[in-house]
Amino acid sequence: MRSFKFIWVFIYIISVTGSINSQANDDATINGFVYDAANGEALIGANIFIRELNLGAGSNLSGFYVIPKIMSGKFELIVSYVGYKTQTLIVTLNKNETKRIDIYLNPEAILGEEVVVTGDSVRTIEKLFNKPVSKIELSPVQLGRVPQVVESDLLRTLQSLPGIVPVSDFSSAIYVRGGTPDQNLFLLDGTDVYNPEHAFGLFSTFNMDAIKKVEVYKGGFSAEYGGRLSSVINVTNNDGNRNEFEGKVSFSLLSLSTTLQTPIGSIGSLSGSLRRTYLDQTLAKVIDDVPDYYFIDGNLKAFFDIDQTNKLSVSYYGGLDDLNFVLDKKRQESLGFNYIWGNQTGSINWRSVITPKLFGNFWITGSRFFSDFDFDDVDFREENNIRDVTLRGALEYFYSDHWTFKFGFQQKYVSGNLKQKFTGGRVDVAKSRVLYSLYATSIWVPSPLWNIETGLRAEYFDSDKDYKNVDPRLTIKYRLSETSNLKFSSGIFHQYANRIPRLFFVSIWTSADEFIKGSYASHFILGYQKEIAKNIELEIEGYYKDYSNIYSYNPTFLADISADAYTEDNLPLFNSSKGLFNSGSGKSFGLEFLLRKDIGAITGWISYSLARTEFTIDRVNKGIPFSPRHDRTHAINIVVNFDLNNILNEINKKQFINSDKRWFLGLNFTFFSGQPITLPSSVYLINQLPDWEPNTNSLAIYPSGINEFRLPYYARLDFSLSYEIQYNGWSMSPYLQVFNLLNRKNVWFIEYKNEIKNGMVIQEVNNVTMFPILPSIGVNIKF
Amino acid sequence: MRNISGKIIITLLLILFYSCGESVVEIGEQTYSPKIVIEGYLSPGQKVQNIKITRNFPLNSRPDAKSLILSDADVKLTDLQNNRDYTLAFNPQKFSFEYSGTDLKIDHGKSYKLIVTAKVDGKPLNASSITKVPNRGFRIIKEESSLDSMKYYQRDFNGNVKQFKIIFEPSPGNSFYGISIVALEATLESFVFDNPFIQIKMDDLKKDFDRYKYQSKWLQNIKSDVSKVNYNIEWLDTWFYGNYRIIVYAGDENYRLFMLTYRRVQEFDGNFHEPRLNIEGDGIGIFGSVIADTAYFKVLK
Repeated sequence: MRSFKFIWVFIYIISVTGSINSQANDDATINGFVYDAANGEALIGANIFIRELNLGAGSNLSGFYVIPKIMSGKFELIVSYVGYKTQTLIVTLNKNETKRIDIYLNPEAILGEEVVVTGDSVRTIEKLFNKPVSKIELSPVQLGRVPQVVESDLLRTLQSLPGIVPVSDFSSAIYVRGGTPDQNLFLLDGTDVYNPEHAFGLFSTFNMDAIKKVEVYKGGFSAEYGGRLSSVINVTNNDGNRNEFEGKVSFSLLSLSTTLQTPIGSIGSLSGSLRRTYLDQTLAKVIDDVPDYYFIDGNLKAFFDIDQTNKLSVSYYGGLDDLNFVLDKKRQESLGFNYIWGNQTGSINWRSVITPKLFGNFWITGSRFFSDFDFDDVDFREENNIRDVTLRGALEYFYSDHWTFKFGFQQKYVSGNLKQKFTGGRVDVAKSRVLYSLYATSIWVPSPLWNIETGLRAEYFDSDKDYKNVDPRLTIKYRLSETSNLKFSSGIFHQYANRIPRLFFVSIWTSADEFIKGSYASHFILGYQKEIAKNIELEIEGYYKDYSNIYSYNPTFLADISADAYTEDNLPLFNSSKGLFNSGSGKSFGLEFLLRKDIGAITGWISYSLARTEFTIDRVNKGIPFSPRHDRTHAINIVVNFDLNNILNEINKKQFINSDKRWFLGLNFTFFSGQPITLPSSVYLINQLPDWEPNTNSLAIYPSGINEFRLPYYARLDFSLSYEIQYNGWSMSPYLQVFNLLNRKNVWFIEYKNEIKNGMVIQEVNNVTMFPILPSIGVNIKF
Repeated sequence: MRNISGKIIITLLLILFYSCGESVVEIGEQTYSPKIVIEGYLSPGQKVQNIKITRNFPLNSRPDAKSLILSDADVKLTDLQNNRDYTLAFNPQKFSFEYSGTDLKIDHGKSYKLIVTAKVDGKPLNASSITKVPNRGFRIIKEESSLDSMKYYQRDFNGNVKQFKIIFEPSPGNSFYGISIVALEATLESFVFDNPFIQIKMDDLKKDFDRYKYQSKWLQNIKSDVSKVNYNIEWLDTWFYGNYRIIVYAGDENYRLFMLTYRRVQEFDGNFHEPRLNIEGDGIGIFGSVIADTAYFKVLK
């Protein structure tokens, strides 16, 4: 019943908006889509600008734009997008006219021709002004050129952005401005992804070849997004080439992957990607110590142009990790286990130009995460499932050049279950939750100097105990000068889901209930943007975040869990999250600098961040505030990519040569000041059981104060070199990547061994280091 | 131009400088703070004895185990039923503290407090802990347990692997039980090298001998109002041929927290966290109370 009311409210809002539209005045409107002329893909974030009126708009996530309230006349319409040739159109508008103008931009590089890289004719400062606070966009080319472990990886690349840090080389998890990984909302074509990781977190689930655009909101995000405290990572996959068949095959030491795109007649396009690792079929066959492990993932997306105003896309992602571990492959009954886990997501997205000024985006999405662990030898079995079905609608109403309204709804059904069977008991947790959300945002442009966005997001979480919240959001942008902007953003953010990280096993998600309250955070962000030179931008942002009711995994949970019931065999049965978390609060603050250049023969960014995070958690450090492990005071990242054929041309300001043989060099330097660590403080002699004689295992460690010390600084230089040969529409680029080129030994943690020999305590303390130098090769073939 | 080139060269040199080499964490005195280590248990109906009072020591030091004993410590036990104090004396033969009088009786369901005062590294330290002895009623039901003897990894007529089984009556109100399994005739020769699980090399066995000889298990959240609890002994807990001693302990809250947390202090990211030890002041370790019952079984070749 509640669901119906909810949807009726939304329909009412749409109808009211429609009536406002019917009362529109005599001014003209331009709208349409911006596409890549080469493959028909919609371009997200393209700039559309009327020179004479100093009026403009950006294309949204669907490539749609609207410039309303234009006076009649003849104008120059300039459309630009990074990496594409700028297009200028002469448009004549009559009174009260609505003109649909779809724009097809040509990519900048055209084979065999000499072209001048003009850059983007819309000024850098203009693009910076239009961008939301704390948002960073990355294209697949930018992502692919950052050298990483074995092959390029989305989340690892994000770790080189200011305000985003990893906790170690062995994890692709990201910590955004002091927040923990479960505070990040991952969206793949509009669908929530719960555990976006392969290979126990070494790699992320996102196949780089399938990605069209990545948007990262590090904080202060608008009312359109909710459900997480810290960040949004919105990944949009390729719709598919609408003009011709194209493909890509990539080989790396880890995996083989292919991406194929094809038009579906004149009505749409299809894009598919498949990736599989092959260590299980190669090294594992000959080396006993290499486990039988692989992961496979695939994306499929179909796009349909139903008519001029309606577009439909259907997207699917499936991924599976499979580990079949045998301790001693030579023994028939050797200890061994089988562990499989994976994600499946699917979405249907309908985009519609409902009226010339009203654009609608509607989704039905489904997401499933599952894992299945079977270790019969020690009588242990686990099944873990999360299912998420979401209905979502987002509308944009371009009322005038001064006012734009955005509003939408979301109804999310989430169910999860965890079953464990072990010698001493059973875990059987099955929960279903519903999250209802409504949001409304107004974007007011009182003058060309100001842009004020205010929003409200209301949420109702239907759980064992119900929760509700209304979160305000505010963003103010101000043009300080011809080349600089000032921005401020603030908001309250709620989260009703928590993740339990586990050793070896994939994480488990739980939700707010009678024992665990909803978490919330406040963000305050002040930013300054400056166009240093043509196509070179500088962004400085300071932020303060405070968190309440945050939860950390209780490492001594064994001592705190208690049976909720008993099985028929009188074994304890656990079916609640009681005892699994420690609760507390926290705060993060910092200052970030980002100098970035996206166009030219030398591209990349240099960033520095100064940050501090402090948590106060019950039962940890006697309730005294402490720095969590991901707190990195200083972080420096330098990511530079060189088009070696054109470096001198850029330096000497000459025309670029677009050769069919090109060399690219990439460098990625990372420096983090040492992360906090709890060290072993002392050793003592004690036996585990009263009857045991003192033996070699009668030693125990007592730790120092929680995260009382800091590790030495972390630094790493990565390198990549690729050579691209183009021939007759084909291209091949073999590459060499070297992770940690200078083989720096960065400490991860302290390993401690001890024994008692002849009445003497013999101790051994070792520094366990992270990845050494890791060279890898691969090849990308496009056709 | 020359100015920019200079800055680029300096930046590159700094990057190269910072990106090579080795970082090392030195652990020593700066992380150390002295503590009194208590290891002692009370058992109903038994004398107060084997209360070991030692000290902790810094990492990377190589102390003689006997030098760690705090024989000069003041150790006092208070019977909280009548607040009467009993001073424990050091027994140099057993390297532990005990009460030799006959006027102290440890009883089921009663609470006792241990107070220790000692000087470590010249610093006066105090530690205290209260234990409550589990209730009467716990015992192994030997007549119903499947112990005696069995061939290693013996199968039944259906081909299923058989197991030793222990059945015990729980202590009313007590939900935690520790289990000690010790191979009494463990030698390098009696080790089961041809086990079906994993190949163990002689060198590894010599190094980790005690890890195979001593096995521990725990059961918690046991329903306290049931009449019987079953526990199957896994073959992974028996690595030698010969006789075994199995002791089941009904343990108090202090023992539960100690056993569940004192060794699990390193997390999967390598970081450490505090164990949950119910000792106030400058003490670590365990002062608990247990009721023990013992049984034996034999693994045949």
